[in-house]
Amino acid sequence: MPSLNNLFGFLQDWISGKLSGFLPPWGVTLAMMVITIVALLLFLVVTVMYLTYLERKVLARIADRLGPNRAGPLGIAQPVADVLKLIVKEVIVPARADVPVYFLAPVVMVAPALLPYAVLPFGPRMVPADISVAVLFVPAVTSITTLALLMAGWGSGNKFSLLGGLRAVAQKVSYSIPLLLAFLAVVLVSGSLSLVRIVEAQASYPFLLAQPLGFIIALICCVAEVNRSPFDIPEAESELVAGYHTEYSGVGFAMFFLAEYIGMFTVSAMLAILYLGGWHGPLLPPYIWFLIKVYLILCVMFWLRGTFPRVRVDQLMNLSWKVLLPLSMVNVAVVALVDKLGLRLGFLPGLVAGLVVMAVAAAVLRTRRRARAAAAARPAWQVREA
Amino acid sequence: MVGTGLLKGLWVTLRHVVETYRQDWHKFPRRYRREPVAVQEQSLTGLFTVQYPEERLRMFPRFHGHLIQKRDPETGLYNCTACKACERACPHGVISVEGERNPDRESKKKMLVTRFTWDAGRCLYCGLCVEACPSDALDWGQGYELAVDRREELVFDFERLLKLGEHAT
Amino acid sequence: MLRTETLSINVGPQHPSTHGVFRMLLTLDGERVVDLKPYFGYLHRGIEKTAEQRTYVQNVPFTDRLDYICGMSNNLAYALAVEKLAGIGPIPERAEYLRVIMAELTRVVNHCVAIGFLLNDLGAFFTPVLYCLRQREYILDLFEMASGSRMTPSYIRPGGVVEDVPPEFIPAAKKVVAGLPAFVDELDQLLTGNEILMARLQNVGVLPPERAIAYGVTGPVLRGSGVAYDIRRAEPYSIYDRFDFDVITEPGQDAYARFLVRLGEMRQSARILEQALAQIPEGPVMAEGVRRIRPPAGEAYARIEAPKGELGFYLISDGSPNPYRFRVRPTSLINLQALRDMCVGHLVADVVVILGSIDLTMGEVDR
Ligand code: SF4
Ligand code: SF4
Repeated sequence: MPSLNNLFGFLQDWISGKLSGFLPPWGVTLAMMVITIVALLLFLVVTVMYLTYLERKVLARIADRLGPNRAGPLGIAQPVADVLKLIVKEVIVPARADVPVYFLAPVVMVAPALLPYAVLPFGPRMVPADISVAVLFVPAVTSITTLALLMAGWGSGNKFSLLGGLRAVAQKVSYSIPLLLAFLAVVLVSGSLSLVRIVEAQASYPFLLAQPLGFIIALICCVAEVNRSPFDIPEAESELVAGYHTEYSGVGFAMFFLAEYIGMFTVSAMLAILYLGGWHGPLLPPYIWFLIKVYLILCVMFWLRGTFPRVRVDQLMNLSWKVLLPLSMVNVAVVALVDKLGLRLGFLPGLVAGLVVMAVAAAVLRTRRRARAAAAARPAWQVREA
Repeated sequence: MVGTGLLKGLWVTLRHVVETYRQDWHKFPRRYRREPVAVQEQSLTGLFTVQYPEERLRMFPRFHGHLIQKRDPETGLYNCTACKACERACPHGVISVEGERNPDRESKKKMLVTRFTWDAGRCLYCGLCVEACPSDALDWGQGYELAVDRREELVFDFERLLKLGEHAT
Repeated sequence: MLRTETLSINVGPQHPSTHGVFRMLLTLDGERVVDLKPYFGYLHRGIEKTAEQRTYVQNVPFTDRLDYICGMSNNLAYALAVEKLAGIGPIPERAEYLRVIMAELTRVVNHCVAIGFLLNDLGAFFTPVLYCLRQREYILDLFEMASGSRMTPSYIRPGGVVEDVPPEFIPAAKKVVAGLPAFVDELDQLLTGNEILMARLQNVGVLPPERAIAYGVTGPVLRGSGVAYDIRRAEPYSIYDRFDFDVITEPGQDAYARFLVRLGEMRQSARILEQALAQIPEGPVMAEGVRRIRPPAGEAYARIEAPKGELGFYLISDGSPNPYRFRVRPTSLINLQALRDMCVGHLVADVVVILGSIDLTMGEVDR
């Protein structure tokens, strides 16, 4: 099925062929760009809508429930109803809000969340712009959302929001570092910063096998990057009501929501591209394989959310700076070493090295926890009152 | 090893997900049937929620749904003798009863109920009134869909309670 | 020198995790709590005063509404107090057994709710709480079968219980009890070893035994501080002296220890229930001649080990059909006293967890 495999490529050729009949070449390029952007945006909005639906269904099943099932058969129309509700809801501006900042924040949140889709390859030839530093581009633009979180927290004029915003910034900044180091290891192995090239390098085996440790670090960091449970501290419901978006209603809230889910999709796509082999897969068309992998990671995220309690702020920071950062550095070193040795054994040396590092790390963590438990035998109040 | 506790937890939730699908498949016809289903079977896994308007649970015989006034099945006369025992027993003054002597001396009914109101909105559903009734007139009905639009409609009068009693039996 | 300012935030009365209408004024230094002031009274319904105008039996439904999670236990404590005051007794055997069965089922219900909502406070997205509520549902079904109501049963009355359970109750209860250990095991598997949970609960809200005793804290919070004090053992009421069970204590003194105590107590309750359901005799369920209770002038205090701790009723009679004074020793209110001590020095996130680990019902705090 060559035509199905390259459906979008053909579509592209067909449309540009039609357009070139009555447009100059630069016009065709421009029109194609607009069409691609519109198509991507539509795809993203629909994806986000149904991502919420999928999430609610998965969480419901985890908790022995059915999930949304009222609107339409099996609740299919639920996301539509939700969107309509959010759109018609009144936008409330808190009395003590910093109005321009308050209104700018959702926009600043959504715009950078969309940018990574310019470089994410959904399949061969299915990438709007194959730039050569895509691996850096994606984290770079998504980290602009940090600013939006801070703006939302500040602009709302609410103490809970402010705390939420500050937490969000701290979290995003500290998790970007191990995340980038984990990505760096992939770059070392593949020898390229272009996402397309990285996917192509995984034709024989996905990098997950060569870098199990890197994948785990990247997964944890990605979950933390998009503020998902168990790292959903900025919007920790039981402590901070809803964190930075406490004061947002209607469209403003919808924007945050949209950005959050697009962010989830982005990081899942990144993980799929960097570690799971992107579009590679037998039988099915490449873009289907890519989506399957992305949704698999998304489901894992939902699963984590349905199972775990939330970690605490200081623990979150400790995890990032004291565990993930050293581990990711070790990972980069090990990968570089294995790569330099140049053993032509496929993924085996990487896999073995990764597992060894993990085992050592687990042992170290365990002894450290024992030591801490012993040190904490003296109750905290005595320390306080001493 | 660090992380085993997390993996165990993940395993539990995964099992729950799988079980909901497995048991749902087995019980497929049950869902969305319009008659009351019996008490929920005890189990640790599987779907648990009741899809309310379609699925309903059968209430227990003792369920405190709402009050009813009963009639004597033979004569068709209501049992209440306006003795006010229920009114006195109620901790919250929810029931108020007024009665008068039956002008028709021949009739079996010595007392007629002129006014009997039960304010469902203030009731504690404790059942002290039902326990206090000496003539087996007041009892519990099984209905639970008592929502109304206006507060006044929550006050049930004698006729309404009698009618509820007919439905209940 | 950097000058920092403290930040005051109001947590509650409308906050997702204050367990009812409860307000804490937190003074924060960054995210660290430097002071905490609890404000309560939002749910005050004047039950103690109202009860002075009601007869002894009419007060039973009000006791349901103190700690509305465990109505049956409240009924039991109140019934014991009235019996002591009016000299009612002996209580028929079957009624005693039914009382114990109901009280222990209530304990399981309460601990299910406590653990479930503690996990919600910890930020687990509803999964553990729904597993817990599911188990609670089976028990509430039993309550409904026996008394007609799920949460406000008014089932245990001075003199016995209001009416015998229906014949299908005992088999149904046996089935539920047989399923309990498996449920507790699953909860154990899901939560106990979870590293995140341990990190969140261990060394959080430490309450050393001497402090706990000084505050008058009782129940799982006290036993989580390592004090083996359980009124069922210390001063057995009803027929608790006949059953074989352990008083669960944990040395940890922290929120995790309280969580473990609750898990363990569910197991012990299942043990008691098993014995009680096997031994329960036939017979009447109400003592003779308790239609109208009119105790002689005097006073009485009766207490039980309610799921949350010591629940006592102090009644004074002036010889009339209504109590002259009706005073509750509310478990939740007294356990709440230790909150500030446990919270100061911790982070905001810990405050809600500590609050959850104390297990409050505002209905009982405010009455
Ligand atoms: S159920 Fe209780 S509160 Fe309601 S009317 Fe009867 S006695 Fe009064
Ligand atoms: S319902 Fe029963 S207790 Fe109430 S007035 Fe009628 S007969 Fe008396």
